Amino acid sequence: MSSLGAVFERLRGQHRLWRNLFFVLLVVLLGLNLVIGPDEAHFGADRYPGFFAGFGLIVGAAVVLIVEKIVRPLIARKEDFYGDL
Amino acid sequence: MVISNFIHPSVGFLLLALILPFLPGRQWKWLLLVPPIVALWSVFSMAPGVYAVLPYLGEQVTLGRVDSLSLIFAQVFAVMSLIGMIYALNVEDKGQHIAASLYVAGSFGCVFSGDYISLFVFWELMSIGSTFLVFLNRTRESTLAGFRYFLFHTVGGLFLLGGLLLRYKATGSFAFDHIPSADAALYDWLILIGFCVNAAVVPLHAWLPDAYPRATPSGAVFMCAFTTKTAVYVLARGFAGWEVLAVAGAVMAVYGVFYAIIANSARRVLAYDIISQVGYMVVGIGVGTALTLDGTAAHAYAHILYKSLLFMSVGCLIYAVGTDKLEKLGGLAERLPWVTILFTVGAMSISGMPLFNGFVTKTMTIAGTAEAHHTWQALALEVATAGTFIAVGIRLPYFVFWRRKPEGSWNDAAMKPIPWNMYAGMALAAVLCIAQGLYPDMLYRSLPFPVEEPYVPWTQWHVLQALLLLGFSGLAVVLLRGIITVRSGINLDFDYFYRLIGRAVLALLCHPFAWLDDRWTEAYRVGGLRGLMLVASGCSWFDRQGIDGVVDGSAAAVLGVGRIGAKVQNGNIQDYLAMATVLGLAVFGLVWYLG
Repeated sequence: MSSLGAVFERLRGQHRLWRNLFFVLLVVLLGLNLVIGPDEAHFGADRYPGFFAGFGLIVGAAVVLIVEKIVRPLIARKEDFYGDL
Repeated sequence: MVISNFIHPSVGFLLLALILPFLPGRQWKWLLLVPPIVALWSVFSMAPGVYAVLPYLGEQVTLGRVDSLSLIFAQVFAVMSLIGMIYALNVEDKGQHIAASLYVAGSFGCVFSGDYISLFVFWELMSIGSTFLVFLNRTRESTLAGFRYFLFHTVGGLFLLGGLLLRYKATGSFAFDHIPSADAALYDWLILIGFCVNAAVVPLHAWLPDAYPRATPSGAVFMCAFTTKTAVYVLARGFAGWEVLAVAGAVMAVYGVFYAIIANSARRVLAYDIISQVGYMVVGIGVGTALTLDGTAAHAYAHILYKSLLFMSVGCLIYAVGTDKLEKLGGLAERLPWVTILFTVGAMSISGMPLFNGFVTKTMTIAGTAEAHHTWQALALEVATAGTFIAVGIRLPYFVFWRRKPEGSWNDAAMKPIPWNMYAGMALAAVLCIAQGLYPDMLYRSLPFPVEEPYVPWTQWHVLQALLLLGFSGLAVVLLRGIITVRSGINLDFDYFYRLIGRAVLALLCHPFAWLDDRWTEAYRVGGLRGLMLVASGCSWFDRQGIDGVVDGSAAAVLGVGRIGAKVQNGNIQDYLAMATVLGLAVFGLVWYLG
């Protein structure tokens, strides 16, 4: 394993630290959103702080839930469903 | 073709395809880099104007329409051809290089075409070249996928051909210019459908995730860059401002990421994400303002760079461990750290993360769409941005690189070292992704349409907005990580219906043709064969009666031709297609020369 590979292995072992740093970053971004906003609101509600945070969270969760829980069970088939292999 | 200061970039690639079969030894590989370098020099030095207007079949064909729109696409095609050829330097199979060269030549030809005749010829050349990039993976799966790909593109080409002929009948011109949507006739819609097939507009898209994951690793790198982006170019040229495209693009953007999130093969994830990313471009074309059209051109440029980088990274996985199936990957960050880094550059770029080129192009398209009051389309593109980050920015690198290596997955001892040229191709693409993200002007100054207020991506709000959207969609993944899985298998798409249609057509044709074939065989057995035997005995008598010498010579010639004929008739439709292409190009050239 190369030295860079060893660094990556160490990073993986510290995943809790990275996750906590990620949460801190999100809080900082929300705080910045209280003082930095758009010059012009394109969607109406995006003039309010937290709009894009809420949008990202809700859309991200909805997309994952819809495709994993509703779409995939309906359309998933075996690898050789068409007999191409 | 050299006319004044215009050297058509296709010429170098066509010459390469022509001479490559006859070059001995191994040093021919370095010649692969010559056409891209000539193309780069050509497109960065050519001046706007109309060049290479030639008579053909009583019409004038324009092979060199050079303006700001064709130039920006030609520039990125030239850059991409160099990246692709560097990446493919280690490939021994000359057939792959010939196919790639014809394919790239076709793309350049389309971009500089000023009329539908030359556009159609180059369009079909692209189709044939890319089909062979699928065939040449030389598996049963890739052969079947190649046929489906070729059939679908042939149907798309027929729509284009029907449209352009009907258009000629109605207008008396083959000129390829902008068509206002208010004046659209049936033939314009036929042309639009032909273009939409190559742009992978839903529901005409399923050829893309079917074929790209089955192409050769380096072939997929070329394919992800040229087919859909050539289609984006012709749509921007001919159909800007068509509202139907704004709707279709929004559907593509969301549909593509939905499938990308649940796909099981890394290349299929990327293939579905092409549909999504091209959706942004199609929205920009449909909205049709200067800002959205610039956004489309800029995003096409950026997309070619980061998507090729992603396909190259996955090509490295296939080279090193032999698969791109997610359930068989994992734990590769330590073993392939540079591939991990380069993949991450591509993944951050496609997600629109600040510092990378997707950020300066994607946000331009969305801002232009919102400013043009296409609110729903702009929202759909924001949804697609979040979805892309989940599919390619988080899920794909997690399952390939960062999770622990699953039991029974790839074999550490059998891992192959990756050749230097593959790293070099990826590094070049990665450097450009970052450079364009940091210095957007290096891309913006080539944009084709002047705007009153130039778009400025690097503002506090744009950066914060991007980080909020991506960060909190990432939080959704962290919270729902338990349900994001990989499972072996495929997901049904519209190709299910294509196959049904194909089977129905086959059944309709098979029975009458089988009946005809039976009758013909019988007639041949009864009449033709006896006739042939009669002629043969006549010839035999003639031969024996004193002119043996002359006839023996002829017989030897006939024998030689017969052997070649027998060799050619090997039953492989791939080979017939290659021969038909050579014959077609020869006829095309002959008509040109004699006409």
